[in-house]
Amino acid sequence: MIPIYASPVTDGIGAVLAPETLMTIGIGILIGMLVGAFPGVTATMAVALASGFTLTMEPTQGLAMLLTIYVAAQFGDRIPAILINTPGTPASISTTFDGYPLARQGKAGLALTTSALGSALGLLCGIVILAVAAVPLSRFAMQFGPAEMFALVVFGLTMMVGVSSGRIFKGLAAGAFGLFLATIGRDPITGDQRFTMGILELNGGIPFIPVIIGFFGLAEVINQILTHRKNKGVKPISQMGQWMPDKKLMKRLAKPMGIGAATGSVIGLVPAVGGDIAGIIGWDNARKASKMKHEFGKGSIEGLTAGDTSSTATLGGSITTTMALGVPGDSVMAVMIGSMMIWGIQPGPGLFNSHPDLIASLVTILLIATVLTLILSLLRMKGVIKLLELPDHFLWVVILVFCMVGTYSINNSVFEVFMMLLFGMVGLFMLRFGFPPGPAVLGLILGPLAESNLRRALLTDGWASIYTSPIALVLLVIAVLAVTLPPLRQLVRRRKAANEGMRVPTLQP
Amino acid sequence: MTDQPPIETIDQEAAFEAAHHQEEPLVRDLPVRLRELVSVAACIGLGIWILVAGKDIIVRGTAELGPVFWPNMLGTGLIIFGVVIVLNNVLRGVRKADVPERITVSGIAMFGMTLAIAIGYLMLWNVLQFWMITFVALALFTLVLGGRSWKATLAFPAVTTAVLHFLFIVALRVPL
Repeated sequence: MIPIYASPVTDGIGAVLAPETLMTIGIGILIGMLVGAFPGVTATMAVALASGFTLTMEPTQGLAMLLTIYVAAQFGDRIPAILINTPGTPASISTTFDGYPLARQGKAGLALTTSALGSALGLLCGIVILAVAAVPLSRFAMQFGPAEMFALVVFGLTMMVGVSSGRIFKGLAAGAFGLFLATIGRDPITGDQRFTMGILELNGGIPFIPVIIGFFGLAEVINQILTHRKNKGVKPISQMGQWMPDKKLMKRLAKPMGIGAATGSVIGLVPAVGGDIAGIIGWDNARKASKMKHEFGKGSIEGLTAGDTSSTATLGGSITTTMALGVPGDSVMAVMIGSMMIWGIQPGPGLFNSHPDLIASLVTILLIATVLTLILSLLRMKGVIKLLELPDHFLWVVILVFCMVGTYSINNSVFEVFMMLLFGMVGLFMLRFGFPPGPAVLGLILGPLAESNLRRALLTDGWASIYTSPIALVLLVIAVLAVTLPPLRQLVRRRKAANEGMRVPTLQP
Repeated sequence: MTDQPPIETIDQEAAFEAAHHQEEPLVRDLPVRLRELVSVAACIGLGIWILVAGKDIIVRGTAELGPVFWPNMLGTGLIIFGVVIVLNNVLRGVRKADVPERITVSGIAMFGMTLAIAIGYLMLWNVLQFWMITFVALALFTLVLGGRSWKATLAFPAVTTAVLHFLFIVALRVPL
């Protein structure tokens, strides 16, 4: 019998229950709730900024902070969605469908409470998936050789591109740009210098945390500053009404919550499909199954909880694919991979072999974060309305200074702060011209892995090493389908419409 | 922060279309199409630069699968994506959601001043004491970005500087 006190499970749980880690979880909850409550600050931006100061922490504490921010943002972002009809983060788009109409009917308190309960249930389902699926998936991926690993990276990149509907080609270009950035520095196989332009600091490659902070922090804030207009604000609804749902209502909510949890859990396992899409699909599924379809979109508590449960249920699947395969489930996870690599933890096949206690730590962090954030969300926080009325400039200033000081704190390097400013400008260009930054960051992080594995595979057995591997072939076929199917479907639909003599919809005057 | 689109702009139909990859109305105005040419120029320009700069890489040993192989693939890929963007975005048009919000004149002015303060702040980092330069930079940032009251220009910078000092210098021991 394995003694309980020496097992990786107890080691993992024990590391999280240490007072310092619990304190970082508490701080992470407060940051995450605030981040979620401010529209315009996404969870990705918050995790990117936090990665600046968490890199100096112990890996468990750093992970606890980043994951808790992510979890708490899933609760906080519902507040502006319900009170001012503006999603705090993209994951709460579906919350606005019924949350704001409910608030206008004087049921804001009830909407906030049921939304928090739905979000917590979704997160718990996700945590179960992580606990059950992560280790077997990681073990399966241990069989991967260079050809499969290359295919896996291409699969992850194209999945992230494929979900940026309508911007597939710009997504691919952004991914290629990220992969190119990863080539700057020394060649991963021969060690030859590439594209360093004589700059000594670039020999080690482009540091990815400054790039991430520039893309997701600085670029977003500058874009908000550039497009700022006075008197655009919306006054939050302050009539809260009833807070706690009664037994009858809770019973009625069981079905939509179940539908939301099932939808989100499945969608979460598809890499790169985030909570925003899952929330909308979960809301739609609950509407189809409901006897009161007419209420959906006009203030349905069922719709609200289904969407919220679905969007948060993706989190477990997202962490599972990130940790077990090294393929980020969403852009927050792409950022988190960057931080983990600096701590010496390489997500992907073999992670749970080298860090057997990690899965227990992850599950414990997520459980504690979910329960504590739920408790915080159920407190009747009228003060949060005041937060929503806070002028933009306070937030902008805090983010700007955090971008700079946080980047400096990674390696005490002013050069890296300049890199962050430079990539903030590049990110701004991408934002203004419709290039999604997620694939670029992913390309930068996974670039060396993709390049070295492709070249190793080709050196071993030529292109045959890729097309003779069933796993690599399946992954590459899915990757190709992910980027070719959506435009092909649109083309077929347009052709069909043209044949039927219909006009293709345009906004041309 | 309240400066986000009001209720009318949260379009359920558009959200469904995006989530389900459905057909969306396309914008085909000339300025929008011309704007897309900038994206094309960026892709093709970067692709060509990678191919040209790749020739300067000093290769030891075999060149076929050497250090230039992967950058050449990426450079060629970027040029191809640039051409596809011409066909897809310039000739066909773009989705309404992909047309960014218009930049304002006051926004450009605020951005210019913010950038100047940020660079000045960075240059003086190792010259003046962190708390002193941070307080001044925060006050200037707030002033430039629209804060006018004493709370915004004095109290807020003082509190934020104290938090930054505690977090980075005391807790994380960053030599600032």
